[in-house]
Formats: sequence, C-alpha cells, structure tokens
Amino acid sequence: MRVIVFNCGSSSLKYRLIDMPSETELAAGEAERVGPRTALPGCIHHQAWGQKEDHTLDMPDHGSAFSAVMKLLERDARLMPEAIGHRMVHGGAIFKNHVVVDETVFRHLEEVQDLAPIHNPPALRLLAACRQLYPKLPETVVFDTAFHSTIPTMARTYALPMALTKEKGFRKYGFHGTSHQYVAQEAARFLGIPMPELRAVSCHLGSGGASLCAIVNGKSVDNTMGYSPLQGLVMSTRSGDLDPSIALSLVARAQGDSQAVESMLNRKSGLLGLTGVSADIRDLVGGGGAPQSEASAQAAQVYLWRIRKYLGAYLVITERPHCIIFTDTIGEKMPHVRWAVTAGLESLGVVMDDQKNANPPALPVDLAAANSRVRILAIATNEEVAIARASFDLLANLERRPS
Amino acid sequence: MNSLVLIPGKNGVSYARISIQAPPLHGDTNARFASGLRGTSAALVDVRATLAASPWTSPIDVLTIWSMYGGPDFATPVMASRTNQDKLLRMRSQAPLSVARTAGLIAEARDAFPETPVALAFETSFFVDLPTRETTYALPGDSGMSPRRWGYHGLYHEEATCQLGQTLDTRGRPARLLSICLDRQPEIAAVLGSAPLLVTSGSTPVEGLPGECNCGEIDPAIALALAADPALGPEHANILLTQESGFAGMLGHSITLGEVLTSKRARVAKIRDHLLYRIRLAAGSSLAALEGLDGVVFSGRYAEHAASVAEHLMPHLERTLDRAPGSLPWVTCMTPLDAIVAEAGFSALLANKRPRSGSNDAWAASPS
Repeated sequence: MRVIVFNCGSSSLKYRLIDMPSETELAAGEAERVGPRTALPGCIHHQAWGQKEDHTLDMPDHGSAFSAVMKLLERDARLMPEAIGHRMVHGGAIFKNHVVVDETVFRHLEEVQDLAPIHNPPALRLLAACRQLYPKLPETVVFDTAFHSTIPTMARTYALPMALTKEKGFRKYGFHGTSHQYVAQEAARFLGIPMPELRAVSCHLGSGGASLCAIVNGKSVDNTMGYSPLQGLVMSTRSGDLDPSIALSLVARAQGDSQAVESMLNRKSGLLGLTGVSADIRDLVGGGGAPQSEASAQAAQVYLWRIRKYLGAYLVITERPHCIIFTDTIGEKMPHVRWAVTAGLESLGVVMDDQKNANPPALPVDLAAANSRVRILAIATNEEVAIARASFDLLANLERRPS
Repeated sequence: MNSLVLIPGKNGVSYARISIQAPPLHGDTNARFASGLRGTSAALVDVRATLAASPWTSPIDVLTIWSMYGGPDFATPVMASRTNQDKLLRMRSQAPLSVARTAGLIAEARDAFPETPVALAFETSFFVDLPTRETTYALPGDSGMSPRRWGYHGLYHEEATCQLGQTLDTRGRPARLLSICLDRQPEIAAVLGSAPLLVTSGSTPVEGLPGECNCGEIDPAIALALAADPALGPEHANILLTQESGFAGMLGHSITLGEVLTSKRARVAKIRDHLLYRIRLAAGSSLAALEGLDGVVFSGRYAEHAASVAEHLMPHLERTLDRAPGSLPWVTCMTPLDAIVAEAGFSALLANKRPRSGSNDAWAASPS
C-alpha cells in the first residue's frame, strides 16, 4: 500500500510517499510559501526515483498545494497514493488513538482545532481538501498527543480547582508523541526487547521544539510538554517552564494583552531570548562544545541544565530504564549536548563512551560504555514513517474487521 | 542568650521566646516561653506585657524577625540597621508584600521593644548563590522583567542539611543531600555540602510543588488562558492560583499537608498520589543535579509525617541508584522554625558584635 503522509506547517506542506509495509520511500517533497502571496512565489521541491525538480506556482491555501502535489504524483501510476496519512498536533481529550477519518471524526476534529491554533487548523483544511478532491482515498489522522494518552492521572493533573480543570480541560496532553513512539519502537528492536516491556527516557531534541518522554512498558507515562507545547524544556524560542506569577506579571505589564505575551513566550523566548542573537543551540555550542561568548555559554548552560533535570526526574520515574534515547536534529547530531546532559550520572547507571559519542558510527547506535547499566542510544526519528505505519495498521485493521 | 522571634503571617504575628545556651551558637533550645497568634501592633504590646508578667525575667538579647524575602543583598541573617533597612526597602519592587510586611514589623517591634536590638532572618538567604543555570528563566532581555528563581524555605533547608551532613561520613567529599521541606508550600532542594544547586520554588513560592492552596508548577499557557478570561484577568487569576488551588482546589475545601499525607479518604489519596509523584520527579532532578545522593532529610511543620513520604520515595531512589533496600539514609529534622530563626538572630547579633574594621554601622541597629 502506498501511503502519502502530509505534515502541515502554517505556510508549508511536507509530504512523503511511502510503500508499506516495506517502508520504502517512493517520493517526497515540500511545498513552500503556501498561503497569501509573499515576495517570492510559492514553490514545490519534489523528488521521485532519485530525480529532483522544482515547480514554481501560487498556492493560496493548503488545498491548492495538495492538489499540485497530487498532480505531480499522478504523472506516474507507480506513485499514485492509495491512502493519505495526516499528522495532527493535538487530538485533545477526544482522540486517544489515531483514527480513520469519517464524518463523525471530521466533526470532532473541528472541535479540537483551537487547542493548537497554529498547527491544527491548516491540517484540518488540508484534510477537507483531500476529502473533496479525492473522496475515495482513505484518510487517517495520526495525533502527536495520542501516544501520551496513557499518562496516568497523577502525572497529567494540575493542582487547580476541580471545576476549573473540568470546565477548561486543563491537563497535561504531551506532544512529539509520534516521534517518541517511533524511536521507542526502534530502540526496542535495536536492543531486542519486546516493546511492551521497554522502559526508556526518550529525548526528542529538535532545533525548534524539544521534549522528554518517560516510557514504561512501552507506554508514555510522562512528557515534559503539558497542556500546550510551551511547558517543559528551554527550546529555541519557547521559554519552557515558567513561574505562573511571571506569566501573569507579563500580562499585567502588557496591559492585559495575553496574546502578545503568549507570542513572546512562544516565539521570542528560549535560547533566542537569552542570547538575543540565535535560537539554535548549534550556534551557541561549537562542534567541540566550546561556547562562543559568555552570553552563549550561559544560555547553553540553562538549556542543558533543564534537560538534565528532567532526565534525572524521568530516570527515577522509569526506574532502571533499559535506555536513554537521543533523537531529532540536536539529539542525533550534537555529541556535546548528549555528553553534557549525561555526564556524571554514573551512580544512576548512566556511563557514556566518550570516544564513541564524539565520533558515532551510523545511526542507530549505542553510545554507552560497556559498564553502563542504562544504554544510551542515538536513533534517527522518522515521523513520516511512523505516520505511515500507524495509517497502514489502522487501514489493515479496518479491512480485517468483519462487516 | 534569649531571643524573641516574630513570624508574620496572614492574620498577625506568631511569636516565641527562645533561650539558647551560648556559646556554642548551635545549642539546644532549652526553654520556650509562649506562642500564639494576634494582629501585629496590639499583639506586640500584649507580648511585651506577657513577657513582663512572666516569672522568667532574663532580658531579651535580640528580637529576630522572620522575613520571606531578602533578595541578593542578604546572604546571611543581619541586624536591622539603618543601612540594612534601606537595602531592604530598595527591594520593594521585587517582593512588595514581603518587604512591606518586614519593614512594618521592624517599626512596630522597635515601638514595643525600644531597648532590644532587632535582627532579620531571611528564607531566601540560603539561595543567594544558587547557580545561574538554575536561577535563570529563558525570557527575552526586553521583556521588562528579569526574574530569578529562589527558594522560600531556606531556613529549614539550611538547618536540616546541616544536621544531616553531620551524621554522614563522606570521606571529605561534600555530602549530596536531598532536603524535603514538608510545609504548607512544600519545597525540595538539592544541596551539595552546604551549597544548594536546585530548588523547586521559583521566582515566587507559587512555582514548584503544589501546596495547601497554591497550584505549583503549571503550563505557563494555563496562566495566560486564565489571565485572558474576561471573568478573571491577571489579578484574579493570581488569586486563583495562589489561594484557591493546590490541595484545597483539588479537593474543594481546605486541607493541611499533614492531612493529605495521612488521610485514608479515597479523594485525598488521589491528591497524595499527585503530590508524591511530583516529589519523586523533583527528587530525580536532584539526583541528576547532585550526580548521586548520600542522604535525605525532611523538615518543616509537617516533618512528623516524613515517614509516609519516605516510605514511598526511598525505594524508588534506591532502585534508581542501584542500592540495597533501606541502605539510603534518611532523617527528620524536628527543629521548629522559631528555634531556627532564633539561632539566625543570635548569629547576626554575634557577627555584629565582633570587631570590624572600617564599619561605622555597628549599632545603627540599636534603637536610638
């Protein structure tokens, strides 16, 4: 089955066509500058059978981008998708599992779109366009929050008034679930441990967002992100954890403009806020780990310290985990970050092989020293394959279900 | 030496007269005269009258005022000299309520006890040198705010870790200590030797572990959502998070930490599970900060219930550290806050009496 996976950004549309269950990539690309006209025209960077091509065109919305992508694929019958898998950031409390789209699901998706106002609405618009243009293609939605639906009550609860919690739906949802689940499955396979027995701390350290996930018996039991992606680690432009009083003081200073503060905490804080110049840890810590200025050094310390604190917390929650997993851009490619957050944790059973960490062979790789009780893995995440897997399983189950 | 300790609270000032044999400074509390709760000025006049009428006639050597916030300038207890009062007042914008309350109480104490020197003991002193990586929030420089993280049970933590440290043999290496303060707003600190490396509270005591009526750590987006609610706004959102949340909010009525830790009711057990989970997370962060652990100490007004926390927590820590069950030491520091504050007052008094070169501030603390 050929599954096309869409990952919808606010002004972009990434896609990968994957043959399942072989997980072979057949085509991939990205539509850029989707939406209102910008200084440069929209463009689709398309790749199939090793051939790259760029197509310039206006794409006023995600529906038109989708239509253009499908036209490129339709030129070759071998690339015609048989199913569509959508990534949706937030499924709210309604969607505890990934779903095959039908009328009821679509209505419920509309109900949760405000929970992730930047990501969910364009994904929903894309989904609507797909249904309109290709009504016979089965569609699935894979939620970043679904993997975290197993987080127990004691961990997902905020100590807020009961009525308020109920009325506003305040609870920890957790994010990056698709990636955490994927690398956990890969880790289980790599270590030869059945997924239902895996205990791990997964560190999804992206160049933008980042979160840690505690995994027990193959299930998420905690995630550093919370009700929104703002909570948790210091990220490229997100503040992460913050005293609630600070958030309220900032609103008061902004004459009650909560949206301005939310925008500042999501887009101008984090590493960018601390340094004033760069939102990327790679700019702050050189390849050898040497920070480039005092401000950079301090920002890097704050960033690494927060990861380390949560790593320690989750090592206790997972109790003698099989492994720590590093993934995504920073987790996979920054040896200094991996070293800094695990150094000195020998008494917790974590011992890095420093030489291997500095020059790792191809991923996946075990970077732990031989005497380390906890294995330290670097695994490349692949959210598109994870979405294709989930979509394939959902549709296969649907076929198997007696009519 | 005798000390009168004043601890301002929501509805008045609790007080205690404490006598400590001196020297040594860290003596045993050998007598405690009275304690109670009254509204400030009138209460202090009553306290003076009560002391005068008591059969115990030895004079008060120092009156020590407990203060929540001392900011970066007060790393130790100090005498309430003019210079120190000026310093304190300059911090008004950082902690308006705490500074105003302390400044007011200094004046009222001077009125009621004009012949007695006044000392100040701050909860934040222990955390003045908390590492920058721990104190820093990832906010932009132009946000108009430069808040930092503090701890707000520094007096308990300092005393408790000092007591625990004396019982451990770490062969010259600074002891790695986990200090758990079981108070209305519980707080955890990771302490290396005598230096804190991590604390759960934040820029204010609202952040961190949930308490009897404060929410503890929440997603900042929730605070913003509440502030944006037309029915609340930032001010009422603050009241909601600091006075109507925590255990009381979760349960629907007031409940003490002691009751949360001991109640058999199913609904309270859920709150206890939540609290114990949060304690476990903070303890794990502390292990990472300290690169291991030598012992755990409990303190605070509910320290008597330490066993119910230890029973849950210690096995998790021991398994994580690959230690045999029961091998990780934990102790309870039962020293009450007023005794700790009294000691702080004595230390300020003695430090002030030591000859110092170049200082002309020695007894500006004394009433004129």
